[in-house]
Formats: sequence, C-alpha cells, structure tokens
Amino acid sequence: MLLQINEPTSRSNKNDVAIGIDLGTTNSVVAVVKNGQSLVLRDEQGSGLIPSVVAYGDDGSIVVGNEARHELLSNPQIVVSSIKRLMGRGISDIKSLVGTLPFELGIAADGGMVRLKVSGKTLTPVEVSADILLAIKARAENALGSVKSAVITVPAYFDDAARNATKDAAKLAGIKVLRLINEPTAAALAYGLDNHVEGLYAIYDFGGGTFDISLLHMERGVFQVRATGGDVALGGDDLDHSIAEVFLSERTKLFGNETITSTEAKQVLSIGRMAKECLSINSCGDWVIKINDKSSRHYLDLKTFESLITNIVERTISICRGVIIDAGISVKEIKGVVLVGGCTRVPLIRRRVSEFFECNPLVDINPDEVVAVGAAMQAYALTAGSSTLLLDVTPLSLGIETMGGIVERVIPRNTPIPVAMAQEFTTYQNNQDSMLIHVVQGEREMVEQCRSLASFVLSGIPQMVAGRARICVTFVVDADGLLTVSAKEKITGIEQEVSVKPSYGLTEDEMTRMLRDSLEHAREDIKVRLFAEAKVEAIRSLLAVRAALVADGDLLSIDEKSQIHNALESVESAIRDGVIEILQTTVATLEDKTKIFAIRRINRGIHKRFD
Amino acid sequence: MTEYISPITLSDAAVNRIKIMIADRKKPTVGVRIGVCTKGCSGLTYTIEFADEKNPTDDVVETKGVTLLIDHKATIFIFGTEMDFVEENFQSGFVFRNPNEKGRCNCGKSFHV
Amino acid sequence: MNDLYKLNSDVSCCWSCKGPVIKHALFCPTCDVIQPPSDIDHFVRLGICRCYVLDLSELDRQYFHFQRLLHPDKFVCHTSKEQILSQAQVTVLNEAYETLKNPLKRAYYLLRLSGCVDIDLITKTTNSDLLMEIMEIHELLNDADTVDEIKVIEDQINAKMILCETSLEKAFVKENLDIAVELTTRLKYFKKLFEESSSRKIYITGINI
Repeated sequence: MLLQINEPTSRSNKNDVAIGIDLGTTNSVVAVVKNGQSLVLRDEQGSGLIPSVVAYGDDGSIVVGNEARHELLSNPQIVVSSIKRLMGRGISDIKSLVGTLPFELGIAADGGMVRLKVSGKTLTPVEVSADILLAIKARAENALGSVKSAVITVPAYFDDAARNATKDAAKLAGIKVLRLINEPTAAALAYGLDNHVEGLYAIYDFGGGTFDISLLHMERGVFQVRATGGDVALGGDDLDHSIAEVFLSERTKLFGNETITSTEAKQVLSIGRMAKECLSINSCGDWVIKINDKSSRHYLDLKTFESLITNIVERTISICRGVIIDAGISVKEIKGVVLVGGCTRVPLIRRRVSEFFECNPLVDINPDEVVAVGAAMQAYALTAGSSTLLLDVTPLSLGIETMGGIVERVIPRNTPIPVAMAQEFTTYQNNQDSMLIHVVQGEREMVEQCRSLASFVLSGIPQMVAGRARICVTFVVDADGLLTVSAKEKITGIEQEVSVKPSYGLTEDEMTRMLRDSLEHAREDIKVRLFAEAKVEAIRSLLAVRAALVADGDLLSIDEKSQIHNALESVESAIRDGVIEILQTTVATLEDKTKIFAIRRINRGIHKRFD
Repeated sequence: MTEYISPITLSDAAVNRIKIMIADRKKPTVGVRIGVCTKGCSGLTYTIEFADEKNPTDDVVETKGVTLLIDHKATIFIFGTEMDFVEENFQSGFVFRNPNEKGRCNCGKSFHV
Repeated sequence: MNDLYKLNSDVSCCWSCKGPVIKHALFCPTCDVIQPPSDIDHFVRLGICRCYVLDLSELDRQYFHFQRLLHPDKFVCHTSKEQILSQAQVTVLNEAYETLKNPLKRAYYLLRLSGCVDIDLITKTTNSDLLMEIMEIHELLNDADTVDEIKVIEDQINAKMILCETSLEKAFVKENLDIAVELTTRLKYFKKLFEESSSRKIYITGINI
C-alpha cells in the first residue's frame, strides 16, 4: 500500500468533545473534561443547574430551564416538571403518583407508555426529556463548539424500560450515547479520581425523584460495584410533597375544604420545595399561598419539618441496611460515604447518614454537580482512553414467568455486566406448539409484583409429550445495562430473538416517526445554512460583475450588456425569494453570460501589458 | 555545533516528488505533515498531508530543502524511518521503511512497533 | 512460512488482517485487534491454576487485568465488530469470575470438569444425618428474634461451610469424586441456610427490599 499526500483533513472531528450529562428529576447538569480538568458548564449567573422543567407555549415555543420554572408560578398549566419519574412507566405504575404529578395524563390505545397533555399537545416522557437534552446540548455547544456524544447518567435502580427511554430521548436530541452509567458510580468516579480514595465506599444518592444506595469497591483505578439498591419512587419531591400537604391542611382549617386544580397543586408543591431548600440552611421560615384570591401564611420550623420527613428518611436508611446485608458485609467495613443529590443538604439526612455509616460523609464536591463531573470523566476516559475501569452490575433481577405466575430468575441482581445467562424451560401440555415468554424484572416471587418488561411467543415447537421440549431462554445484558432475550427450542433449533423493547417504551414506529420529525427539522436547519452560504457567494459575484461593467463595459454590445443586466437582476430577486435552488441556477446563468466578457477583459489586460 | 540526528530521512525520489507536489498545489504551503492515526487493521497507519501552517505540537525537520512537520505523537513511531517514493506499474506513492517495525498486517496499511 | 501455520492446529486466522493468531490469544499479534473468545475453561481464561482453594485476591487481580484489556469501555471508539467481540469476551470473563469466586459454584464447576453431569440431581441428599442437621439449624433460625441471635447462628453455619471447603480441596486433589459430590451437597444446603438467615435478618429489621 502506497501512501499519497492528502489535503489537510478538517480537524472538526478532533474538536468534537464528549460531555457528561446528569439528566436529573429536578435539575440537570452538564460537565466536560478539558485539559485534564473537569468543568461544569454554567450560565451567566454562574449556576451549573438547568432545571429539568419544560414550558410548552400555545404558539409552539419550547422553553427549558429557569425560564420554564418561573412559568410554574404564573402559568403552570403549560409546564412539565419531574418528567424523569415517568420515564419508561405505564399508567398503572404511576397511579400512586397521580397526586404528585400535576399533568393531565393520557394513555396510548395500545396501552404503552404514559402520555401527557400540555398546551394542546400529546407528549411522551421521551419527547419531554429530549427537549431537556436539547437545551443541555445547546449550553454545551455554546461553550465548546460541536458536541455529538455524551455519557448520560441514570439512577442505578432504573429498570430496563427507563434506561431504554433515556437512550431514546438522547437519540431524538441528536446525541450519541457513549454509555449509560449509573449515577452513584459516576459520583464515585468523581471522588475516586480526585481524592485517590481506596477501599469500600457507600454512595448515598437522594435526588429529586429517586433514591439509590450503592456499595463500590475502589482500588487502583478499578471501580467495582458490589451491590446496589434503592427506590425509584422516593425522592426529594416527596419531601416537598409532605410540606405541601401540611400547608394545604392548614388552609382547610382556615377556609374549609377547597377544590384545587392541578395547576394550583403545582404552585403549592413549588412552595414546598422552596420551604425545604430554606430549611436546609435556616432554622425556620414562613411562606404565603394564594389560591382563589385567598391568601394564607404558613410557618414552619426545622423541628416540625424533620418530624414531617422522618419516615421518608428512615425508609432510605432501611434500604441502606438491606443492601449492606445483601452484600454480606458489615457497616464497619465501609470506609466512607459519599453524598449525592440536592436533598442531602437537609440536615436530618446528613445526621442520620453519618450515624448509620458511623463516619462523616464526603461532601467536598458539590452534591448537585458530582454526578455530572463523574459522567464527564467517564466520557473523557471512553474517548481519550484511560486506565480507570468501571465494573458495573445489574441492579434488579431478571427472570421469566413460569407456571402459576411464579418468577423464575435467570440473572440475579448484582451480577457484573455485560452478562449472558441461559435457563432451560419445558412445555406443560402435550403437543403444546407455542410458548409465551414473559420477561420480568424485580425481586419478588410473583409476576404481578414485578415489572413486566416484554413478552413474546416462541412458536413452531414440534408436537411432543409435555415436559419433553427443551426451550433454552438466553438473557443478554450489555454494558449499558440493556437486555436482549432470545429463546430456542433445542431439539429442533427453532429460534427467536427479541431485543426487549419494554411494554412501556416507545414502539419502533413511534421512534421512527419522532426521529423523522426531528430530522426534518434538522434538514430545514441545514437548508437555512446552505442558503446563507450561497447568498454570500452570490453577493460577491454581483459586486464583482458590477465593478467589471463600470471598468470595461465598452467591451460589450448593447445586447450582451442587457443580457448580463437581466442575469444580475434575476440573481438579486433570487436572493430576496430565499429559495436556494433558484439562487444556484441564477448564479450559474450569470456566470455563463459573463464568460465572454471575462475572456475579453483578460485579453485587454494582456494587450495593455504588452502594447 | 551539537550533533543533530534527524528522526526521519528522505530518499532523493521522495524529495523530488514532494517538491513537485507542493509546486502543483498552487497554495502557500509550509511543508508536509506526517502523522500516525489509529485506523487500519493493525491499529496504526501513517498519514501524509500538506501543511498550511505549523502547529505548536509539530517537530520540524528540514532536509534536502523540504520541510517536514512531524506530529508530536508520531515522532516516536517514525523515529529512524526513511521515507521513499516508489513507482510501480499501476501506482506510485510514498512508503516508510521502518527499522522499528515489528509486524505489518497483510493489507500493508498499518503496522505496530 | 505459511505452510508452517497450516501444519499447526493451534494457530488460526485473524478475522481482521488474516494473519496468524495463536489459539486462545485475545489479540492478533500482527494487527492488535481483539479476537473472539475461545472455548477454554474458566481457570485458563483467568490465568490461574486449577484447584479448589483459590487465592481470592489473586483471582481479583487477574480478573481486573483482563477487564482492563477487554472491557467494552475500551472499545467505544472502535468498529462495531470489535465492540461486539469485546462484549463477548467480557461476558465469558464475567461468567468465569462469578463461577470461580463463589465456593459453591466453583465446586459445581470442578465436578462438571471432572465429568459429572446433572449436578442438581446428584447433589440432592437422601442422607438423613445431614437432613437432621439442617432441620435443627433451621428451627434455631425460626426461633431467633434478634439480629444478634441470628449472627451467632450465622457464625455456626459459616464454620461448617469453611470445613466443607477445606475438605473439598483434599477430595479434588485426590480425585475422590464421590466424596467431592457429598461435600458439595453439604455446602449447598448450608449455603441455602445462610441465605435464609440473611432474609430472616432483613425481615427482623423490618424492611423489605
């Protein structure tokens, strides 16, 4: 193979940086590693937080972040917040949340993913998340130039459906996901690399909508997740909620029973959030709620606040205890605990965590930003190479339904990923020719207590006596924690594979449609850019030809001149019309009509020099 | 004068060819940049490009009237090689003769040291 | 040269550059590209010697060493074929690690390597002494009301398991399969008891995860 000298390649690829995104329930954060330093990307006010709040205007406008959060008080019916709680959920999953989620909910005819109705639009959580991701990407591109790929974090306890939904949202936002990593792992990465900690650490992550506890072993650059547990429906929002409930019951005492719209509920919840944030720093405060022109003032001190939330906090502690028992270790073996998530600023939580783990928690990295920083480090490690290694596990057991609705576990929780495991099943009726494979995720024994991920039918099983067929079901979980299931009848070799598209995920069709829509937008964007470029070229030609006409117009006959003038005019009108194809044709005509003129001008130039 | 060992040597054929190509390019050219990139089936492959400007990370080698800019990352792979220009029946191009090279993959495009 | 490779059945062909690759090699010596996992036993895969009692820190060291070479995170910027192979390599590596790390799974695995089939069936006990022993501890567990009481029982179970493991090593060394099967069966039942005690502990502390 012989090499040629090439024109310099554009370096744009090299400038493409990979970012780390913490796509949070309440706030999102984006960070990058640049020149070996991790950097949280901030707005003009210096805040790294992008509220995960989207306002959908009636005019089709989409606003994300602080501006959208402001709308929450004045114009709450157009605002969507805490969407992460709905990622990968079906309507039945969120019945218990309906009170806390002030949207009008809808459901697809096929019973799939939850839909929300906002400003006359019907949206899936995936689309709302994609809008948030677009805003994050815009912030990153503003600071860094082109950004195409990212590491996105998810709660360790996110199930397959929610992970897939997150990946789909990134795809819609035009972001290539290098890897989905678990939030606590990202936090550990940020601490482990910055502080050179070694040994067994607990990561206590109490975010806006989810609670996670993970045990990680860190040693010479290897981050090994030993065990993980949590609750996807327990978060800081619940603290806000308990304050809001108290305030509302105080109002009932004042004004009697009130009917409250979902809009007003949102207002009360955001006052609850403000109260929580205030009481993380101060010992008391008071707040005013105004509904139906009736104002009420509510006082809350730290002690009352702590008694309100003590049940929630104790629930997180007992989950911690369970995970430690599950991992077969004792609290004393844990060298430290890392606090993640804004809620860990609540004094009661800090106190209980240090009591339980018998050590002072690590808080030197901002708990709101530590996850994004870790994600950015991993993004850098994946693209630029690194000696660190993240070894993650499956957070929840995966299994299939067998006779009587009992779950047969195929992959137990806390198994290192990627993993492939197979289990054999058989038929239970004579001449049974098909078998329903129902894939579930969770720790409970009965199917209805676990989460249904997908089901498919293996058909064409040859007729045999019951119990004779040998059906081998293989589960494969990849490095992102995503599951693929295949089934094979061993005697005949009939095989079927499904990449588990979860029951509550988007269907292939929906995803295709959404992608097509977003590509159409992209195509329009490209058109606009191409036209702008063509316009610059055209104006340059116009000016050049006009200048030449002034200088050497006498070289042309009247007829030739008028042809060139016509060509000039049509270019001008094409610039005004804004259609790129027409502009290109008129510019080509102009060039054609001025060819002779150009040759004559060159000849005149030569003559001038030699004469 | 300190003794200077050039990391790369150029055959006369290579020198002539580079000069012709730079002249044909009709663009201000600082020289020719040599790099390695991780493509090809053996992991590493050489790249040769015209250079419009010098990068701070380039190592500059002036030899026989030709300026070579060697991407800093490539220097260790390139050290001690001779760049030659060969003409075969149906194609011509540059080759690097590398004393450091341990293996070369069958497609000839990449190597490892 | 080429004929030499053909003669040697331990050499195959790299999928990428078609160069010679020694069987079981993880990477092609010519083009350095990752190769598909080969069909080798877990001990060979992790580069440790085949015996029952293992140095677990050595096992970890070897596991991390291979993970550093093969993990999908190292192949994010490579071709999709290489990514698939990396996932395949690490999947079998994880399986090997999980099997060897766990004393019971390791015993099963060694039995299987020694030619035993249907291990679930042969490790079903009919030994009434063992059953009595198990039942007694089971009763104790059910009667335990505090975490501390359970811990005492756990220590007992643990001691019995350790005893099993040391005896298993001797049985495997002597290739005394009958005794190995018997000891594996004991280990299996004690392991189950241990799991029971864990869930009992979680139950007592009043949580349900």
